[in-house]
Amino acid sequence: MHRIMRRRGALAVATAASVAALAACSGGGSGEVEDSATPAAEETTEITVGYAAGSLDAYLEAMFDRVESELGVTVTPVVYPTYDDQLNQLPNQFAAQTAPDIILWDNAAPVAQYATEGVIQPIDGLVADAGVDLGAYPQALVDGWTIDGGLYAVPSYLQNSAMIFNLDVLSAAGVADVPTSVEELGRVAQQVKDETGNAGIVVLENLFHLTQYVLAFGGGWDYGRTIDSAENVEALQWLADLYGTGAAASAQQLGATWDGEAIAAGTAAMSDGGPWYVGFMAGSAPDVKYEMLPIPGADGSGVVTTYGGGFSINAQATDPQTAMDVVKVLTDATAQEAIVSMEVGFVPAMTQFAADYRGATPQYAAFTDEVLGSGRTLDYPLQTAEFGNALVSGFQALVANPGSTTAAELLADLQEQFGQ
Amino acid sequence: MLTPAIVLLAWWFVTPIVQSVVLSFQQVSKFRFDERTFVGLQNYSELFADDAFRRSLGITATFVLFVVPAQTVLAILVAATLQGVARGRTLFRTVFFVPYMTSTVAITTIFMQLFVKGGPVSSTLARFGTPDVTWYADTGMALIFLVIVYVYMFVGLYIVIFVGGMESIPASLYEAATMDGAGVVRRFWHVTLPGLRPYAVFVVVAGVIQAIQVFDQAYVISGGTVLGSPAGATSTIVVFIYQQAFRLNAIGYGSAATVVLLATVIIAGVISRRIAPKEA
Repeated sequence: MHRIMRRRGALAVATAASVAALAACSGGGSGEVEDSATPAAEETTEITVGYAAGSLDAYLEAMFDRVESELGVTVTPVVYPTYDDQLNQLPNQFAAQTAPDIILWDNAAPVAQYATEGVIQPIDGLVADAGVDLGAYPQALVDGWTIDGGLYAVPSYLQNSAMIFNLDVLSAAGVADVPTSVEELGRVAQQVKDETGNAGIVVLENLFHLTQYVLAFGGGWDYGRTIDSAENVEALQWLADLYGTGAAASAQQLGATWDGEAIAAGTAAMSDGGPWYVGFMAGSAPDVKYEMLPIPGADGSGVVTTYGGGFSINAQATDPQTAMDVVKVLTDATAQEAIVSMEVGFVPAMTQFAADYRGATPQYAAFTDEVLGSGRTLDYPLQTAEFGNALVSGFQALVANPGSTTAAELLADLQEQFGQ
Repeated sequence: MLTPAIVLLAWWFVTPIVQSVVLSFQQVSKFRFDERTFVGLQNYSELFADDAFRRSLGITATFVLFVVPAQTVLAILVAATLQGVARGRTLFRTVFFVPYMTSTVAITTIFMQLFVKGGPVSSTLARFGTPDVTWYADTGMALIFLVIVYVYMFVGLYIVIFVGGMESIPASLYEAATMDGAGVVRRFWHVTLPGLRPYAVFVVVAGVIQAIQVFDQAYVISGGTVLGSPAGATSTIVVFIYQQAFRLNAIGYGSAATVVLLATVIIAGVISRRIAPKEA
């Protein structure tokens, strides 16, 4: 469908180019034709919206139809095959000045890097003029989109981190109750390994997932100010030690492309995850019993990262006001309600509609407004991609060569390279 | 008459090379390609001081040293075996050639399933002393895994070349050798191998140039995590370039690494030409 729309978009551009070429060729023609063509061209405003193909496709198409009927603005989708493709292509598109006017992404992406480079624009003023009520969203979600005091997106859907427990594997290991602290988490992970041979914890080794363990220990990156904090060091060393005994393993080591596959296959008992597991487990492993809870924290309390998808506006957008009008329609109450009614598998960003999702999704019951509202933010260092690469490679080296280096040395090195 | 073709070729082939060389002397803004600063040799000096780059050179050299002899010897042996097959030689030749024509992603993915911990190949090999681990996720085994997948994919191409070479050796030479009492091994050693020399030189040269540029297989096995995983064990020079230029958007730096790669390939080609026999 999107391919068709893209081709239609391309066709429209080609047609417009042909018309322009013809107009140029007939430059000596009568002024009447030019006069009648000009207002028609000005009547239709076109806004491009970039997003990754996936479960939001039908939902977004419906919302784009609303934009066209309510605002008379033509929305041209720029669809990336995958979210990874989107993140890989966006820098080049910004550099080539071909990035979409509006971008739907989540703030686990290097948003701070884009914001500080000035390629997306702060929209506080536009949001205020448009009358968007930011109080309708969990504060942590708004905070996650706020960089150096500027707001860089209007939230659309909410994501949060969680701990996923495969109850079948835990039961086979003789674990009756799921762990509620990191200490218990480590102990149970080892018990799973010893009793079943399976990994206790599976980790998809990237910045987001390693960050979840750092946050569970009470640490965090604080945009690069606290990379080598004692909590961060403790978290990474704890995880690396679990790898050393086989109690933790990477998704790759378990032959999975991501952690969910290992949980669904029962080759691991626990993983950090999020609401995206609900749809995946229902479709891929409907018979597997699992539970989704906040990540056990160092002090015994649950820890979640509250983040999510939002619409940002390109700093090079030719018509930021119209772009904001489009964003307002894409994030209004009707759009939020449709996230639940169209069952797209995402949690609406507005608190009142998140409650509707919770009511319809028993697995999500633990993630109350209070839990989500007090969630942590990711606060990656500004050179996010570079930091992520260095952190993951360093962590893999730490796991592969225990004793030759330590988490403290790794993070001290990263603090020097990427610290503020 | 030839001018348009020459202009097109120059534009098509030379422009990107010139552009890469120019970019390698510049610092290019990550998000604004039109913001460029001339930095002289800074990218190159940083590059050669970069542990990750030096490591990628080492990994690529190791990869080439394993791949080229393995695929050359294997291709000669299979081609020689096929030479002795009376019926169905074309069928076998096609079978061996199929992996070369098949999608790299598909083949790498299948091999990943075979070499996962407890998988059919890894567990079988574990009986002979290799560690029972997921090969592509283990820092000690990932490069070996890459070599195996790569050789499997490319050996078919070289088998076809060697079979063609063997068919060009006059049958009279074999007949004469047989009449002189030479057995299969001596005929292979004294007739086949010398006759294949020009083909072997081509296979080695092409193999080196191709292997230096290995990328796809390494890209596939690091899906979901950072390129070059685990811990940079599969970070070949092209992986390094891709990482710098397209993941980290360090266009100038990535271009400098590209120029080094280009120079390496040219030097490898020139050396090969020098040491190759004239008939190759």
